[in-house]
Amino acid sequence: MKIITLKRTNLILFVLSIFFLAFIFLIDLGFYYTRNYPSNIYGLREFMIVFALLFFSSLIYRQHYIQEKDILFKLKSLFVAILGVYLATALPKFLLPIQYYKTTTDLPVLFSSLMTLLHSTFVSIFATLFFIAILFILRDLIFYKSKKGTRRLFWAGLILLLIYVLYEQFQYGNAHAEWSFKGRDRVEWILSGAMLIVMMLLSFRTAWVNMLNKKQKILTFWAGVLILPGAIALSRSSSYQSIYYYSLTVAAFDAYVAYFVYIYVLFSLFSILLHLPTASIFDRKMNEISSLHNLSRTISSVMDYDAVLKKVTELTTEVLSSDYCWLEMIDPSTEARKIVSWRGINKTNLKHYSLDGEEGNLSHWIIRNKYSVLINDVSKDLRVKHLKFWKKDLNSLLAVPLISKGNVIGILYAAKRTEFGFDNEDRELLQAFANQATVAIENANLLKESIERERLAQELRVAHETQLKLLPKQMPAVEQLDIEGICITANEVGGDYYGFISLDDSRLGIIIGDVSGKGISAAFYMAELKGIIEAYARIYQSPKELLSQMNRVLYQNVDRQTFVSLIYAIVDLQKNRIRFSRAGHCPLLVISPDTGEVLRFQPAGMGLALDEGKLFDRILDEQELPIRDGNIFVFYTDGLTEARNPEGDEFGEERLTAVLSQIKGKSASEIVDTIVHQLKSFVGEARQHDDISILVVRVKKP
Amino acid sequence: MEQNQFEVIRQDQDDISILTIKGYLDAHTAPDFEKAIQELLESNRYKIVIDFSDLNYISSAGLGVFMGFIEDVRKNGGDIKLAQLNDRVFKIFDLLGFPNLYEIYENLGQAIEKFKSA
Repeated sequence: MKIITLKRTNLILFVLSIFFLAFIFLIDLGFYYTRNYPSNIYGLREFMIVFALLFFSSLIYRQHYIQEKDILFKLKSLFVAILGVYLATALPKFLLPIQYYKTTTDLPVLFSSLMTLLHSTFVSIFATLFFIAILFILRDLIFYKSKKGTRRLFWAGLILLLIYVLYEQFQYGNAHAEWSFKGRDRVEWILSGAMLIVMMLLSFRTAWVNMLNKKQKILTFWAGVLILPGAIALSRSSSYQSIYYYSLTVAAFDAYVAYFVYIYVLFSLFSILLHLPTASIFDRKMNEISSLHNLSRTISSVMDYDAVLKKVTELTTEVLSSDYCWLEMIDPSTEARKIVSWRGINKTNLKHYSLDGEEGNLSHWIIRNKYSVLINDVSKDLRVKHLKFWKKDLNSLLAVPLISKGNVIGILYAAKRTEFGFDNEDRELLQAFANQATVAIENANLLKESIERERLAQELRVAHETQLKLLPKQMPAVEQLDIEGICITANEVGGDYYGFISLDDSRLGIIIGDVSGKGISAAFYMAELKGIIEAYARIYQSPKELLSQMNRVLYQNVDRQTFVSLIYAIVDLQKNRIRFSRAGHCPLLVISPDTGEVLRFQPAGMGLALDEGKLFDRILDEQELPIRDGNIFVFYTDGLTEARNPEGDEFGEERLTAVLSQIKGKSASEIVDTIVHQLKSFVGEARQHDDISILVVRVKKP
Repeated sequence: MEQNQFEVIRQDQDDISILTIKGYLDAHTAPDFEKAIQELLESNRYKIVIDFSDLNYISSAGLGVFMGFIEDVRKNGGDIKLAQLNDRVFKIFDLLGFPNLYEIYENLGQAIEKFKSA
């Protein structure tokens, strides 16, 4: 909708302008043939011209190429518009040879021929159209990065021009044909003077020059030099005369815009001339800023840690045009340094790299002082002289720290083959660069960690499910035993296992264990463990023998960080005995039926898979206890005693013992419930860190 | 409950490296500890004393770190000796039978001395 209405407005403006101009042309035509020009009609004609100009102005203003704000585009359009004025004034002169009445100075002019009238009309209209465009372009150039005052000044100039045109109209509307500085009155002088001052003031506003790079400055300068003399020559030529003859109003407008163009172009040329010596420095500064900007963008776009590191040296090389660049990351606690990214250096070079010189160490200096170092002649600086052996042609060096939370986490080096290759501005730039890079590196690092965490969480979920599948779905139905077990898994670390093996009618094997490590590997080992136990339990009749064999197998099959703590017990209901061995596991607690006393059994033994066998076998003990009616055996894993409350205190063996001394007469499942209940009220809101397994076996002899 | 933080501080005395470990050594922090030992081995330092005085807790994953390196260390003529374990941490070591596998000392000086006299 908006576009349509805009276009309609354009059309209306265009039609109105054409209408006015056509009407004027008709009047001119009429008077040409009647050879009579009543002065009151001439005044009306001038007003119509003013309106036509206003309509044209708003029409031109609406064009997108006038709205475009790009400075280079503005300069190009200005050049084209000025050329346009030349063409509009010079071309018709070649195409339509004319002869004006030179004798009269009175307005309106009686044109000598129809051709002259046509010529005058076309030149005036086209030149003025270009002048209007020029005015808009100049306005934008002047307003570039300007303050409010400039805008006011500009409008003041336009109002002055309007007043001038109107004054001219009233004063000389029907009497003056020679438009020049000669024979002007005081008002005219004041108005022209004021306009000139305004133009000069506005011509100082050439901030856009700063936007151009060196090449563009030179180009603009020569374009200006070309245009200026041409403009002056043209203004003196008779072409402008045809505009005066057409309309004094138009002539006044065109003339003052033309003056404005000369003055502004002249000032701009001076401005460019003044900026030229510093143009290349300015260019570099701009380049640096854009590189910094580039790095900032890289920060948000590159997520991969290694890619960020690579990008840092890449951009450093680009911005400082350095020959060598490398980035050392530093472990804040050990100060161990490692080159993680480099440019201009190959891997063989890297092997021989060392910054440890005879006269102190540059890296240490930077880490301690948290400040950059600029060395412009490497061969004369004792701290880095040795670098010459590493890279013969390395002559200037710039090193800046990457500082995070007050610690130097890395050092960025840039080096050049030339001596005095860097200045203090480079140093500041690289430091700013390094600060940005630090943020980028840390962001990437955080992301890397969080992805790792997510992967781990996924693994743990799988481990968790596997673990639950390995636990017995129901307790063994043995007439003389009341058994209850529970495994409260922590969502993270898990490796608890318990199970039962029915050896024969009167013997039951009981296992409780804890696989060290975390995640999926623990779950797999648990499955392996279960398999080994079930296979061996029927072959090896004594717990000690079984554990000894299991140790040998496990030691061969698990990685060195992994080990298993475990108790294997055989309850023999015929002999009324329990035999058990403890491979590094929590002690077995036995509650006596008479006194309710809690006894603790911790026969010697070490974890499975810690030792290949000899030591394990030598240490491992086996214990045998009689079982009596009402005896309660409590197996558990360290998750129970190591469970912590929010204050960080452990549940501990004492609390467990205290709970167990109060359970007389309870069934196995009631005992488990009691322990869990007590544990929960102790732990409260604290997070569970480890699996908690409890296995209660109560003897109920008939 | 944010005492879970873990920290390793390395100190070198001649060819002996002392790693002081602080806080909680569990599944989450074990990789940090692993890295510290790895770095020692990479620079061929095999005489290692671990100072436990500021360690509050060690989980099985933490214990696994010792097991992961001990073989390599001993093969290279070094050892990992443990010193200044608090009661709670010692109990965990003891339960698993670690005193059979590692030399455990009441104070740091003894451990270092043991290396020097060997």
